[in-house]
Formats: sequence, C-alpha cells, structure tokens
Amino acid sequence: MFEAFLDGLAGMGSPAVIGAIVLGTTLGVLFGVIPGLGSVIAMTLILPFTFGWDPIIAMYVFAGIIGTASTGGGVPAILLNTPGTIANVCTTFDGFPMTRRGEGGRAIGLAATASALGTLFSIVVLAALLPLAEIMLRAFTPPDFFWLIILGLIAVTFASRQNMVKGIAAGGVGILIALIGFSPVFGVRRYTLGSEYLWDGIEIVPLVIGFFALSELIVYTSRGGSIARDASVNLGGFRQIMRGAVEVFQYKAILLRGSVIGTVIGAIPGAGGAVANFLSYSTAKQASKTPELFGTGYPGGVVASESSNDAKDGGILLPTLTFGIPGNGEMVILMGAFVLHGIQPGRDLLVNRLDIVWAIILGVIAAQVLTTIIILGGGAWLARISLVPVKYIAPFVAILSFIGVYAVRSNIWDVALAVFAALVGFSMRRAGFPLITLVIGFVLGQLAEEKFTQSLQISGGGYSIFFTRPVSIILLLAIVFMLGWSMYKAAKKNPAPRAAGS
Amino acid sequence: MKRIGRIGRLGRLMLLAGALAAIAAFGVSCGDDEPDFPTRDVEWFVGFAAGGGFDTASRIIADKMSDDLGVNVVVRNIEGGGGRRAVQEISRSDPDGHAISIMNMPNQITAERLDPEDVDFNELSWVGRAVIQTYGLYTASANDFNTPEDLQGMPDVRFCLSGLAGHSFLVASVTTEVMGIAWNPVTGYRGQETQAGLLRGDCELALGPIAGTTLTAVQSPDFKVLWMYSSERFAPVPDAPTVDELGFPELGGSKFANNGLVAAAPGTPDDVLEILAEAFDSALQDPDVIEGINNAGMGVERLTPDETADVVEGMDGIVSEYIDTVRQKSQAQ
Repeated sequence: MFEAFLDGLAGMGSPAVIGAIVLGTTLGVLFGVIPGLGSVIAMTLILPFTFGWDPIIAMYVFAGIIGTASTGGGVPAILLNTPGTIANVCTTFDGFPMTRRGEGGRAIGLAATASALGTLFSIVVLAALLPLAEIMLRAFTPPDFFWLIILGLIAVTFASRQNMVKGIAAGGVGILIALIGFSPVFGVRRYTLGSEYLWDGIEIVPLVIGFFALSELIVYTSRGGSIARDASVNLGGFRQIMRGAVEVFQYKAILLRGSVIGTVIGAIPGAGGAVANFLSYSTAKQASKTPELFGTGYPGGVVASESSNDAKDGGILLPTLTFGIPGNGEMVILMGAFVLHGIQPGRDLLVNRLDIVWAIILGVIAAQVLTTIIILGGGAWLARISLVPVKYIAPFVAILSFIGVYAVRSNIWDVALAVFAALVGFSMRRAGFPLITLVIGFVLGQLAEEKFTQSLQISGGGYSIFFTRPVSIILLLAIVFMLGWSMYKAAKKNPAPRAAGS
Repeated sequence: MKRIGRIGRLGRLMLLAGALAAIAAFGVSCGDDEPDFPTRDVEWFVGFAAGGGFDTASRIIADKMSDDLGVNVVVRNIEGGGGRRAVQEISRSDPDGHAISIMNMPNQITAERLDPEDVDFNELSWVGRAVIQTYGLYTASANDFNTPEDLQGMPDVRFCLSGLAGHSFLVASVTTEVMGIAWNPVTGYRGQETQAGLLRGDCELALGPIAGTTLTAVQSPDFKVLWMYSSERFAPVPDAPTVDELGFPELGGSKFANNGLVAAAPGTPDDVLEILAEAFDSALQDPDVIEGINNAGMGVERLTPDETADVVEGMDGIVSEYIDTVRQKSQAQ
C-alpha cells in the first residue's frame, strides 16, 4: 500500500495529472459557486467525456470535483446569503452577517481554511482505515453484505429529509429499474419488451444526466432570471481574507469537532454533507460558552459549518471504495465512472487497483489545496458568476449534456433516454420524490439481488443464513433500531388522538 | 466468287473460333484475378467494452492487419448481452468481408442454445482464432482435497461462478457430469471477488482462465490449481496436472478454453475470406502482436479457417450434448 502511495505521489508531477487536477478543481469550484448546480452535476457532465481516458487521469478529475464543490459553495453562502450547495446552508448563518458587517473577506478566509483542514483530516482517517478495509471485506460474507445494502438504502431514505413514504417508493422504483435487462446471474432477459436497447438494462450515464443535470435545468429555465439575486458583495480587502485564514486556529475545538462529525457522518450512507453541516453547527453552538453569538456573524459558526461539510469527503469514500455502496449523489456518479472504466469496487480495487485509490485520495488533497488558494485569491470575483442569467448557462449545460450522453456509446437512444429521465426527474421533483434515493436504489438494486441469491446458494436454500452470522445480526439490529427510532419520532411528532371519554 | 466465298466462310469460322477462344481465355484470366477487396475500411466488431482482454487483442491484431490489407481495420465496440449483440451484428452483415467480429466461444453457442436468437455458428465464415485462454480449476490451499476422487466423495461441492449463462457454468456442468461430482453453483463472483469467496468459504471451487490476476493468485501460497483443461501441462503452473493425465481426455484439448474466434458474415466468398485469413494469420505471426496479446493475459494458437470451423463444429457438438444438463441445473436455481 505504501509503495502505491509513493507511486501515486511521484505520478502527480506528470502534466496529465496536473491538468486533470486543475480541470476537476476548476469544474468543482465553478459548479460549487453557482448555487444549485454543485458537484453532482459537474461530475455528471464530465463523466461521459472521460470515456477512453486513462482511468487514473479520470479519477483525478473526479477527485478534484469531489474535493472542491462544497468549498466553492461557501463563497456565495457568505457573500450572497445563497448557499452554493445544500451542505453550505449553515455557513449563511454567520457568514452573511459578517459580510454585512464588511467582513466578507475574513469569513471567506475562515471558510476556505476550515474546509481545507476538514478535508485533510478526513482523508488521513480514510487512508489509515484502508488497510483495515480489506480485513473487513474478508469478514463480510454475502448475507452480511445484503444487510449492509439494506441498511444503506434505509439510511438514504431516512436522510432524504422528504416524505419517507415517497423516499421508500423512489428507492423501490430504482431497484425495479435495476432489474431491467439481461441477468448474468440467472442467464435470462427481464422486462426488455423485446428491445435490443434494453438488453443490458438502463445505462447509468443517460439516466443520471437526465435526472440531475437536465431536470435541474428545466427547473432553472422555468424560473428564469439569474440563479442568485443579491449582488451586494462586500469583501473588505485581501488583508481581511488572510486574517480569517489564520484566525481558524483560534477555534481548534470547533474545527476538530466539525472534522470528526463530518468524517463519521460521511461514512454513513445517505447522511452526507448537509446532515454533517447541521450537526456540527448545532453541536458547536451547544458546546459554546457564548451560544448567543451563533447566527450573529460569529467566526466559530463559519468554522463549524465549513470544516464538517468538507470532512465528509473522506468518510463517504470509505463505503464506496470498500463495498461499492455509494452514500450520496457524488458517489453514485463515481460508481458510474468505475463502471465506465471497468473498475470493480471492493477487493479488486483495494488489492489490484491501489493506484486508483491513491489517485482519488491524493486528487482530493491536491484539489483542496488548489481550491483554497483560488478561493482566498478570487472568491469575491467567483461569486459574481451566480449573477449570470440562466438563459446563458442553460444552453451550455444542455449541449454539454447531450454531447456527453451520445459520446459514450454513439447511441441516439441514450439521448432519448436522457430526455425521458429529465422529464421524469422534473416531475418527481415537483411531486416531492427524492431523485437521489431512486438512483441509489438503482445502483444498489442489482447488488442486493446478487447478494441475496448468493446467500441462498451458499446455504442450499436455507434462510437461516441471514440471521445466524454475528455481522448479519449486528446489521439487522441496526436496521431495527433505525426503523424503531423513526417510528418513535413519527409517533412523538403526531401523537395518536386520545379515545373519546378517556 | 464461289471459291472465295467458301474461303471466306472458312475464314469467318476460323475468326469466330479464334474470337471464342480469346473470350474463353479472357474469361479464365478474369477468374484468376484477385477479387476487388477490400474497397473500404474493414470493421472489426467487439461485443465487449473497450479496455477488456478481447478488445485489447482485437486492437493489436487489427492494427497489424491494416498494414497488410492497405485499409484501416477499425475496431467497433458493440456491447450488449455478454457479447451477443456483436454476434447478431456480424450474422446480419453483408457477406463482402468488410465486417468481421471476434466472439468468445463456446460461450456464445451456450448462450444461443439457452436463449435462441436464430444464429447458426456453423454458417458463419470463420477467419481464425485470435486468442485462447486456458481454463483451470482451483481452490483455497487450506482445503484438503486434490483429486477428482476426493471431490467425488463430497456432498454438493460449491463452485463460485460468474453466472448461470457463462462459460464457467458450462465447464462446471460438463466436468461434474463427466467426473461424477455432486455440485451446486454460487453465482455473482467476478475477478478478485472469486478468490475472496474461496478464502471466506462461500464455495470450495472456482473455474476460470488462468491468466492475469488469477494467475498471480494461484501462484501464491493461498491457492492451488487442481487441474488444467488442456492436453499439455500449462507452463505458468507446471505442477498442475491436465485433465488428460487424470483420465478425462474428453475434457482436454482447447474446446473448454475461452477461445476468441474471428468470423465474417455468413456466405462471404472464399477468395475474400482467403485475403482476410492471410492478413489475420500474418498479424498473429508478428512478434509484437504476440507479445501484446501475451501481456494482456492471453495466448496465441493459430488456426486456419477450416480448422476454426472444425473447432466450432466440435464445440457445437459438446454444447448440444450437455445443454440439457446446463439447462436443468440453471432451472434448479
């Protein structure tokens, strides 16, 4: 593992790797700064164009985007009171009041440095845990894996922060879509309707581009105007930015707590940066001797928010690289990239393709450093991108989407599928169904079926295999606890009406 | 006048005979001419994603063939159905030699039998064999069985396999039938996951081409190869016996290897096929091509078009003989 790390480090000097990191970072920052677009759309758009590239180079691009979007998203949160990504919401609580006080630059300095340190913390934790991941993989038998997938799906559904029934329905539809096509396990075609196009099932690239990029575009286009509407940017000078960058170290406890929360929450599928963001902010407020300062332009609030949303990067990569279980939209697209480049997450990746693993880890670190420099140097200028009217951004994103979808297989039906997915995605957004749950259901559906079948084949058809292994029992208990807790919370929120006369 | 006229008729007859002879000679001469092929780029279909073993080998061979044919031999990936879309594409192509396809055999014959799509592999115009991957049966070293006799005494030996339609499933079905071993498949294992499955005890046996990362694994102390599906010892694992040595020659030869066979459309004229086969065979004799294929974990064992057709016929016979066994086992799952 250490040799692969050194090889990766040596490879970072090559012009192609540097170019890939710069490309990924630029895309991540741009899409992070523009509210609503974010890393998922950036990764979605670049995904098909990486087809045919050296997988290592492609991974550096994706790592660049993963490591930077939420850092970029802190800029409009501070300067325009509009979070660039959902994981930057808490940054607005104290960042924007600081801007109104004329301390926008100081807040940007705090945010960029806290983000960088949070990311570095989580990536070091990830690198330290990777050797253990292989041991975990050996310990995880198919029934354990099956329960882990179910736990992941339930966690994603609960974390969707939308109607849970709609979340479960969306996840179920995702699983059903995953069943379309030729099943290598059973050697039969399912739900293909006699169509050759559906022989290999639904392709992930047109599906995610339609769902994430094109449906978002429909939302923005129907709204019109520019993405952000407030142009009152008050930075306060470069000296203030540097003051903020150094000032982070005065909030060591908040910084460390945010980094730990981000890393741990990131490792839980579905929880992601937004949950880490709120949890870190509220925990910092509760632990503070001066909680009344939070929300008034308190620098510690910015540190709590920005350290956690970037620290989720290391945590969230762990289940993806180790078990192939993506915890959020970014990881779904990364899984799509693995599929496109013939990379198998899990043992294959951890034993044979450590170069890929280190490309992602080193890419995230390099991109974070680069982003910090970009944000510290030109954050205010970047924030103005949000003021560009949608009518200029939409055609660019649409054309890029269609070219990208067609480029992968030169199949016009893939473009039709992307358009169809966009319309379905738009309707689902309007109806309040979480798209991410559907896509994660789609990605995990086949895996769940495979592990379920494997378990029964190993046991000779006996279902007791799901309830007898220690790891399976622990995971099953976690599922029961999660369901029970959710029912308890629901009952507490909506108490049953007392019987008449009682 | 009469005399002149008679001479004239004779002369005309001689002229006519001469003209007919000339036309006949011209006709024969035309028949001996090289056919007008290729008149444009030749497409080489690959039924798998770019970057895989067959794709890599195809690109290496196609590049060399382009030099010989004087036109580009362009590799086109037509993914789908485990390689079946490319098979369909070549079986529907015009029989002019401007399209050829590599296909994994006998896997495609098994897939066709289990789920027919009206492809007759004996009707395809076979060009030759591009690559071969010799299969072996291996297990975790911790297991104490080593021979077919050891396995015959065990209840339901489990095989870690990719699926119920893959080549490994056919080989496992035939092997257990011939050797009298009770077995069950455990499916969904690909690449390194197969070895993890063996080490965890998900299954006792695994089958596959002994190449690439599998070769590295079986050369480690964690695994041992019980036998190879070949008639001669496989150099990278010289201690592993062949099925012939174990008394099962019907499982030997190359019929249970993973063969990358190349075909043109059904009805391709013999002279066009000859040009294609010459360029193909010439490419396979190039040291750079051989090295490239070996580096991709595959071997080169050249076959003429007729030999290739015979191999396909042999595979067809084997699959026909055991397809009911495969089907029954598949349906039992």
